[in-house]
Amino acid sequence: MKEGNISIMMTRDQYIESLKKLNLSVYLLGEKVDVPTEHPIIRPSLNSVAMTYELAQQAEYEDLMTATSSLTGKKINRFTHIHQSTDDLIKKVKMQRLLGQKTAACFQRCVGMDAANAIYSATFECDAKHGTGYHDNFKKYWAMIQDKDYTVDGAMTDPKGDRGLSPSNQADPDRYLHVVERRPDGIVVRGSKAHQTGIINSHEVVVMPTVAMKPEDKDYAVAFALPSDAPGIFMIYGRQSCDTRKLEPDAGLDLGNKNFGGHEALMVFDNVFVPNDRIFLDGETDFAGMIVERFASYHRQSYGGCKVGVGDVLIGAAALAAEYNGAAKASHVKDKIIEMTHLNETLYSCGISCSCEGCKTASGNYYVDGLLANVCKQNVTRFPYEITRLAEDIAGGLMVTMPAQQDFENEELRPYLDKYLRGVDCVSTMDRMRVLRLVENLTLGTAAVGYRTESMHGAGSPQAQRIMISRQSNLEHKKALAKNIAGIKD
Amino acid sequence: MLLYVKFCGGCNPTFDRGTLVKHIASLLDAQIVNSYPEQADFGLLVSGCSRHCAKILGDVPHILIDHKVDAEKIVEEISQFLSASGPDC
Repeated sequence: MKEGNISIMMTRDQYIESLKKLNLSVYLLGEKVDVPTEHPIIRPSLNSVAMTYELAQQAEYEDLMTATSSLTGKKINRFTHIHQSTDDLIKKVKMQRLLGQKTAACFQRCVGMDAANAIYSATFECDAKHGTGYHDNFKKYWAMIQDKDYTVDGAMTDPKGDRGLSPSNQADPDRYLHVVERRPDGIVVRGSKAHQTGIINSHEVVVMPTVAMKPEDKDYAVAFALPSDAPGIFMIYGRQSCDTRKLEPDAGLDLGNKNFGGHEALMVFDNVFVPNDRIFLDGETDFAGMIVERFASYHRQSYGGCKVGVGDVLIGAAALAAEYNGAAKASHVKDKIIEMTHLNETLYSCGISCSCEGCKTASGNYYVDGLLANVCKQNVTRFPYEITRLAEDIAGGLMVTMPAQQDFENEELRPYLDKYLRGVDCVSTMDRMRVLRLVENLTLGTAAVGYRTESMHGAGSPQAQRIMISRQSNLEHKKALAKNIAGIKD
Repeated sequence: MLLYVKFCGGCNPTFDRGTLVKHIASLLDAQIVNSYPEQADFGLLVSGCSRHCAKILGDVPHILIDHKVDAEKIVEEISQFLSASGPDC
């Protein structure tokens, strides 16, 4: 058997069991959570990550879900892959669309993959310039991640305090995560990372700086990895719209998507020790910006896959709602479905194009086209909002005024609800309610965190992409073209 | 018979690839395998759309299957191929 055929991937159940062995410190609704994997608010998000393990075991999806490791030659989950070609970049986007379709939620595992690919190339170039040994550190660390098939959180976003001040000029020095002590065997860090997608479902966390830095910010230019249950780390779970519906017994209908979800949390590093072999940047401020830019570009590419997959589900839900309402043949409804599809496929086109136009870095891995990746994400800050608007238009007001599941279970009320809330007669009232709740979930319920606001701010807010687009627009070339056509001679 | 099946990744299939393959395998009374294509009698390269992303890995006679496929016709083609090849000895 070729080594490339050796599977080292975890099954869905093995993944969940491995998470149970972690000693995570998680707070939710003001209380410490004893068993995060079993908590009803957290569990759907765990199921989404588990799907990345489940699909990798299935022949129907292995072409997208698996790859051959460039570090070990073994067959690995693509979420731990270091991209070796533009084909790898394309498959990444397709894999993300697939996962979005299967979960209709954020499946959380992309951020670690994007962090790994950014750090892989940046550490190589940092070593070449400064004589550091970060690239070897990272390769050994990431080979371990691939071998164990771990889920890794990529932690970039500091709270940032006063946005007008640099990290080292903040009133509270902990507003950005930083090194507070350097020891012979490692460093001690303090600070926090906000909006940490999937951290409670992750075995490890890779921490990166959040902005480009100047020499005076040396203690803030730090990248490293830790187990997510390392001493001194704790998480405070982020609330989502309608989240406590998950605490209601048998609330399947009202959840819209009872099996899957996503999560974010504030992650606190309270004087946490990082051993030397897990450090990937420490004080080389000139490489903080490179890590930020590369991670951001990879992650902006990601949104051209994951949001498209969720969009596929929302378009399907809107089409079903129209059918169940008896309005599917109305020309304006058909046109709205077409528009939703057009917007969704435009996002996909952006994700694919920035992958096709990717290039090889000095380290050997492949990097997306930065301009096209930023155009992709800029569109993602807009199109899902229009897609949700059209979905709400087609669904009708009942998606936010319909009674609760308990009302449908009340024997006195049920005949009335069935009578008055039915659409076309061949579809049950409950099925009509189910699809409307799914539209609600995606457009303004728990999943809207991922599909709407995360589309706006995740991987950087809109202005961050516009700055990158401006930098890479090659405007002088365009002006020269115009001069040539217009006959203007300098 | 052993029927080697290699799927595309399934990012946006226009039909249910798994159900179709099971249907073809049942018509052929074949056992589906997803590895060691060289040990199979025949192979199916199953792509969910016209992009044909499924690629064969190994040396095995095979047919491409996409959204335009007719299962019965595929079964007929495979049966004809196998009978022309003669029985395994």
